[in-house]
Amino acid sequence: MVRVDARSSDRVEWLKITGDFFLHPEETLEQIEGCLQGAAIPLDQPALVRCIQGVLAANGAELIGASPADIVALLQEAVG
Amino acid sequence: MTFRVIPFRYFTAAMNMAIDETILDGIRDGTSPPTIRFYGWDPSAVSIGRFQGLEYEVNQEACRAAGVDVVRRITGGGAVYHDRDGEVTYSILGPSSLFPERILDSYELVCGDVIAALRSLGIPAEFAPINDILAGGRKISGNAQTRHPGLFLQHGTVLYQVDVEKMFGLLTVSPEKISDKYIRSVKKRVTSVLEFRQISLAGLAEAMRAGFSRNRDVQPGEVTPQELERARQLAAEKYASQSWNAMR
Repeated sequence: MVRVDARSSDRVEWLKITGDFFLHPEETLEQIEGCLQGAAIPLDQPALVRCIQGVLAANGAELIGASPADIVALLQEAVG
Repeated sequence: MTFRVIPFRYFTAAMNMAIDETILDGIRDGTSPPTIRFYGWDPSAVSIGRFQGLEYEVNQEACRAAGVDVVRRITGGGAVYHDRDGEVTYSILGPSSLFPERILDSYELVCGDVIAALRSLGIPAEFAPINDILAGGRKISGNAQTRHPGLFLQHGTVLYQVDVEKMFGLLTVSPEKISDKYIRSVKKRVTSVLEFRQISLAGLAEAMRAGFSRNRDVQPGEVTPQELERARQLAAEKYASQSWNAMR
């Protein structure tokens, strides 16, 4: 299960991704959160998914048990 | 390449995680050999996955009251209750060149050693991708791995006996899941060695040692005094600290 907690105004001011997924290398998660931190509301979901995909590709990272689209959809739910 | 095999030993949760990290660092620096070790948790402990939220997963008050340690792993995955007398945990650590590059393939390879151990005891174990082992269709082993540049670590547990009610009391479980019905459903999905075979915990650990040794060059060994000293430091600074355990 993946969970995204967030606080927002006209932007995503703070967020935290938690869950029982696997990500190799693990440090990539901070960069994924960096993609989403500061994103304008309403969210440009396709652009955010591309950003996460780019981070994964740049780090040769594998995300198992969640997808970039899952994370962005959960962020959308969190910011309403 | 020869693997050092360290027999079953008990450590605290923080030390277990610190020993793994110390050996991984040692392999990187050329001071530790590839290693397979078997261990228990004394006192019993809850470990949470690298990315889990501590508050969301662990009933810390219940753990404190029960004298149960809590630690964050360096591997992903879910929260696990490690009963002192209820499981054998293993770690296998080495250069990544010794393991398949594909994550699924590497899980299958290492889980194959656990499966061989269980089958040697007459337990019908089978691999359930990505990282579980089932016996009779129920989970008997969970496994997790991490990869640092050039390095590989996988650890996992084999359930010797299960106390689902105790586990639920220590984890943060939503109210709808604390029903008898849900607990019964978990019991139907989880099993343990003792449900198949009357054998001691030491006997299970020995079967696992044999399972991990069958296709490798191995040499008996122990955690060295230098590794223990470094691990104690790491346990105190990192794995027993709030800054690590409550980082998410």
